Amino acid sequence: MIKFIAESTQLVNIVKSLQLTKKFFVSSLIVGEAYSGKKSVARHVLPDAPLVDGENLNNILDVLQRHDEVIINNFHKIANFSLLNFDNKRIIATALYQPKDPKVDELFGYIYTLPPLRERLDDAQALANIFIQKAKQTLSLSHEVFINIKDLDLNENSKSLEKSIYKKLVFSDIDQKDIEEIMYDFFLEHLEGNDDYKKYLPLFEKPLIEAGLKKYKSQLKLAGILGINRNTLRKKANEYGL
Amino acid sequence: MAYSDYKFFLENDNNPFILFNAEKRIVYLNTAAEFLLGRVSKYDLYAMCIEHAPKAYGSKMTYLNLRYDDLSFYGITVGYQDDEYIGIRLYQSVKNRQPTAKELTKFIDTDINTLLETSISLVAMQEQFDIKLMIDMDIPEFKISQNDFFKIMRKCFNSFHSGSKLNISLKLRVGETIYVKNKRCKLVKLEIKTQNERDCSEDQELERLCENNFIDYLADEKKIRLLIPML
Repeated sequence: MIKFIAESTQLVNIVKSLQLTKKFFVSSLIVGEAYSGKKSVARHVLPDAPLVDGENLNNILDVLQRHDEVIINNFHKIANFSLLNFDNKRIIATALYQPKDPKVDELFGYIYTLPPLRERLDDAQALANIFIQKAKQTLSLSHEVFINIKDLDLNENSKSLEKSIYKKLVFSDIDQKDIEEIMYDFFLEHLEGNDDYKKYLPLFEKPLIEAGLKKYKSQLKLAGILGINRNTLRKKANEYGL
Repeated sequence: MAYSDYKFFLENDNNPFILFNAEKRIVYLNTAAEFLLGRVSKYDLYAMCIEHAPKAYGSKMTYLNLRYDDLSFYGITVGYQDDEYIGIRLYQSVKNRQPTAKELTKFIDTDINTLLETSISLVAMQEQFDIKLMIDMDIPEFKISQNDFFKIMRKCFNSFHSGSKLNISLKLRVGETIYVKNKRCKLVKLEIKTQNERDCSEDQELERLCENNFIDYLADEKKIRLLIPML
């Protein structure tokens, strides 16, 4: 289990607000994208509360009968909001969006919007550091790794962040032999047509020219480095849209 | 024997009655009118008398919606029998909503000062308000729906523009009570004032929410005033 982190002002304020209202019977809704940390916030504030899912309304109603503190995940999936009664309960619900049913606004004392990780770079960086340590352990890597948060994929919040960290770490540790092995496996699976040499040549050429242009910033210089004619290089670069 | 002391009934009527003389002075007013005059000037009421007076001796009833602070009226009767005196009676609108037993379960003993201060702390984290707070620490605990109170405060604060200077006061309303579920309740007055104009678009929703909590809601462009019964 990953420890709870809150570095960005937005998240810190939401957590503080939830902690402040915790002593009252107040129901709060946290709205935000998938994997943006809503459930972790709820669990951090109400560590002992039972967690139920919006897809199972009967279970929610049953748990509400028996508990004063409840976390409801996927609140937007609830089929009939009018069956809910949060009087004298501490509820933290999480949802991808605020359902348009006016009953929803009536149920909650507070409705918070948790911005996605790409708008909370302080949280993203702190989370990335944790993921890097975890990935290094899993991959048995001992060398230091420096990853810029801007080079990581935050489109799907923590899910894509973790995945992109694993990718970066794996890539940082591979050598020519690994690349050959990867390509070998790939070709073994994909070779099947009549014109596959032409089809798969970009797999090698495109990253070679792209990285070369980034590194030397001049086609003339890169042509010299690669030992090919500069007209050939220009033609190839145009072909790959570089 | 016919009973002739009709004044007793007039005195104790919930509808304000005022009698003016030709010099615009009040010569008689009942108890309800005393409360009314705490909210509107006698000159305004006299002007209304003249505006809605019948053309000849007699009386005339006019339906119109009037609101003075927390008092609202649906009509008036203006009458005169001579040129010396003119009287006005205002018909109070009735709020006939009483809570069901089930509804009352959500109201639990709460310190309203703590609740208000928490609401302010929450809003201060999201909006830049310059808040001046005046509370009355002697207000005892009374029954409030905590969730609804936070919701009402959230919506109240949302109606003020960020950066506004807000004067918030919370105090006991002396001398006035209301009946909820046959229980006479004292009132607490919560007022939020600003110098800038506020966004009044959610006022109807706020009024509805307040009504569900037996709170009297009154607002204009620069002020929100809640009269909260001490259930």
